[in-house]
This record gives sequence, C-alpha cells and structure tokens, in this order.
Amino acid sequence: MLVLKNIEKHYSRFDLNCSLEVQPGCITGLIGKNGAGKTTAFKAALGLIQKDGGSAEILGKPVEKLDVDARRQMGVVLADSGFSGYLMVKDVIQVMNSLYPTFQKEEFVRNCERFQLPMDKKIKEFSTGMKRKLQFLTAISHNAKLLILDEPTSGMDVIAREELLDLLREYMEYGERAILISSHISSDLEGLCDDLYMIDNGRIIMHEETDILLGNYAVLKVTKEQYEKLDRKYLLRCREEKFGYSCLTAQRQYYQENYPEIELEKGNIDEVMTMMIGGKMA
Amino acid sequence: MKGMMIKDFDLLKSQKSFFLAAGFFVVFFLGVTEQYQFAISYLTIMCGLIALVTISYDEYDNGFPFLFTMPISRKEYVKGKYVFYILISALGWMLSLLLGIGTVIIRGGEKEEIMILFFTAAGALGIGMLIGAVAVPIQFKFGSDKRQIAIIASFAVVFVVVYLGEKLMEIGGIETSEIMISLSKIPMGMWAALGTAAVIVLVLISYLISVRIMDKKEF
Repeated sequence: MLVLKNIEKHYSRFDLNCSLEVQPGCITGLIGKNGAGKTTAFKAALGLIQKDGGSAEILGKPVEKLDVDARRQMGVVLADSGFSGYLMVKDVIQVMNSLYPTFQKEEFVRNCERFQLPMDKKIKEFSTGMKRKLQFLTAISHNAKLLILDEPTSGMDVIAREELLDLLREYMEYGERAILISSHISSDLEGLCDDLYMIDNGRIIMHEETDILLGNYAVLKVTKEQYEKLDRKYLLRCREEKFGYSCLTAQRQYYQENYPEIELEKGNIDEVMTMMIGGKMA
Repeated sequence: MKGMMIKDFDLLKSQKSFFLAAGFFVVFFLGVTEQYQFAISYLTIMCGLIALVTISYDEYDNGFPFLFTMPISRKEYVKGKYVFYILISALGWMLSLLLGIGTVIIRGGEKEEIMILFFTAAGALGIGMLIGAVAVPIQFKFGSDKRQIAIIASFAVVFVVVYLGEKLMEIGGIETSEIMISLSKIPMGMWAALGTAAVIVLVLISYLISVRIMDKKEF
C-alpha cells in the first residue's frame, strides 16, 4: 500500500533517511519523540517535499506520478495543516462532494453531529481538537483504501480519542485497507497497530510487530554484579541507572527462565522507545 | 478543478462586505459624478484583486500541504486560480459596464459616450489581467506575508526600466514624441488586437511561471 525505500531529505540541521512499508490489511504505527522526523517522513511519502534520494510508492505508483484516481483512494490527516479556516463544515461538504465521487455525505454529516462539529461556523473559530476531528472525519469519509494520519488524535480529550480510534478499527473491517498512523500518545498505537516503526533523528531505529513488542520485549533491572554475570547476547540496549543497569531485550522468556532472580518489566512502547533512544548497545 | 472552484466561491462569501462596499462606491460614482471610466476600472480591477485573496485563504494556517494531498495536481490548482481570477474580473467588468451603460442611457447620453465607456472597460479589463499576471506568481512565490513588498518592488522595477529606457533613447537621440506620433497613426482596431494579444501572451507566460513555482515549492 505504501513503501518508502531509503527516502532521504537533507536540511541544514536535520537529515531524514528512512524506509518503511505499510502492508494491505494492516495498521502501521510510526512513533518517535517531537522532531524525530515523523512529519517529514509523512510529507516525503505524500510528495509534499522534494526528496533528495530514495523512492516513495503509494498504491503501487511512484508518489510523483500519483494521478487523481489514486489520490481519491487516500485519506490524509496532517499534523499542522487542514482546510482553510475561512470555510465552514457545510462548505467542506460541497468541496468533498465534488472532489470525491465516493464521498458519503450522510455518514459524514452524522459523524459531524456525533462529534459536535457545527455546520455553519468558520473552521478558524474551532478549537484544535475540533479541527482535528474534522480532518479525521473527512479522511474516512470517502472509502479511501489508504489512510495516512499524522497525529490524528492530538488536542482531543480521552473520550473523543477513544471514539475516533474505534472508528478506525471499524474502518479496517471493510475491504482491503491500510493505515499509516503516527501519534505521540503511545497507548493509542499500542491498542491499534499491527506493527510499529520507531523513528529517531530521521532514522528508523526499530520495526516490530506490536504483539511481539508487547509479548517478547522486556526491560531487565539488574545490579552491577548481576550485569557482569548476565548473558548479553540478547540485549538490545543498556542504560546505566543508580541501582545498576536497565537492559532491553526481545527475548523475555530466555531471561525469565535462566535468570529468575532478575527483576523484569514487560515491554511497552514508551519503555522500549526510551531504551532504544537513550540506551547504548550492550 | 470544479471542487477547487466551489471552494473559491465559498471563500469569496467572506468578502460580502467588500462587494457591497464596492457596489455602493460604483453606483455613487456613476450616479453623482460623471467619472464613468474610474468607476468601471475600479470595479474590474478590484474584483480581480479580491479573487487573489482566495490564494491567501488557501495558504492561511498552513493550508497548502493538506490541499495538495487532495485529488488535484499543482498544475490544476494553478490553472484554477487563473480561471477564477479571469472569471471574477470579467464578472466585475460586465457588471460595471452594464451599470455604466445604464447610467449613460438614463442621463440621455450620446452613442459615442457608450463607445468610450466600452473602450475604457476593455482597457480596464486588460490592466486587470496585467496586474493579475504580475500578482499571481508573486503571491505563489512569496506568500501573503511578503506579497505586498514583492508587488511594490516589481512595479518599482518596471518604473525604473521605463525611465532608463526613456533616458537611453534621449542619449541615442531618439525622440519619444516622434514615436508617440507614429504610434498614434496605428488604427484603433489594430491597437485593440495588439493589446489583446499582448495581454494573452503575458497571462500565459505568467501561468507557466506560476506552474513552475508551485511545482518546485515544498510544503
């Protein structure tokens, strides 16, 4: 559905160099701290910036050659961009109706009512959360095959976030669809994504299936003595702590069975990301 | 392009007060004074400029990136803006022309007056198109923030070029008045044809420049 191969973009203080793939039927998450390169990767994937190297393909076509039909099969939410603030939701309906033959007007209007988006108020008067809801509802309103969602839930309260994530799960029930989503709220991605890419400093530092990450990854809390005796073959990252070391592994069971005395915390996205970014190679 | 046009007309709804004020202004000038030419030129040119505002509205709050994820190419977007600019200018032109002709008829004016009105209106439309041909690529290149400075600078450049040209001709012993006399011998119809052709060529060049600017633009 979406393939980035060694995509490069060089700025004076930042370099992006990443590869990722979104498979049909999958929700793929992109996670990273602020400024890690998530939005730049999204913009490169969408052809909004000129890449310096590599290739980007969407729905089997190079992004530079995406025609109107291919674009109609995409739904996009961008972190820092949306419809002009001078439009109202009722204007957006007209625009969507003429741009997307598959626009589901009734459902869109229903969703707008459900999420309390007024039809005749200028978008610039909306709160950040309301703007984001509108973008989100617009993206899922025209039967797109591929959703590209950059921080779609930012600025929303917990209840609205959960409702929108449910809409995404529902969305995936119909046909062969795929989603690429980024969020700085890891719990959003944990319960939603099939696989996750972690990005830091413009580079993908990890790609893993969510089930494996949550099931097999663990952080070992060891003293200096325990660390010396530890088999470090399966350690991915280590970080010095007051008590000794925290060590990230993708082989939880191995350490659980062979070192039952070691304190061990099951992996979660935040912990794994912190270790992958802040830890050193074992 | 249809979807973008719908959006642009929706955006223009925010300018209701401008259209009311401009309409009132034109009716006032036509009714109270005899400045038909000014009133007609004003409405035509201002309508074009107000069409340009839709580019600023698209750009507002970093709107371009999202816009270009929709099923419209950058080239189509630029084409839409030119069509919209021409369309709104032409609407303003027709409206002002009709109002002008109406006023002349009500006042019992001569046929010649209507002819002068028509030529004035045609000239105003041409000037409106030329302003658009300069302003649209500048708007795309520099955005709303730097647009005014860029437009003033470009007109300053035109002024300097004309001034220097005149000076050079003076130095070369070419009399501008002689050129003007020989130019005045060209029949009116020829002038109209040459003017129209020049405007079309300049608008086309402007369009190609705008397409290039937008193609290279990063969001």
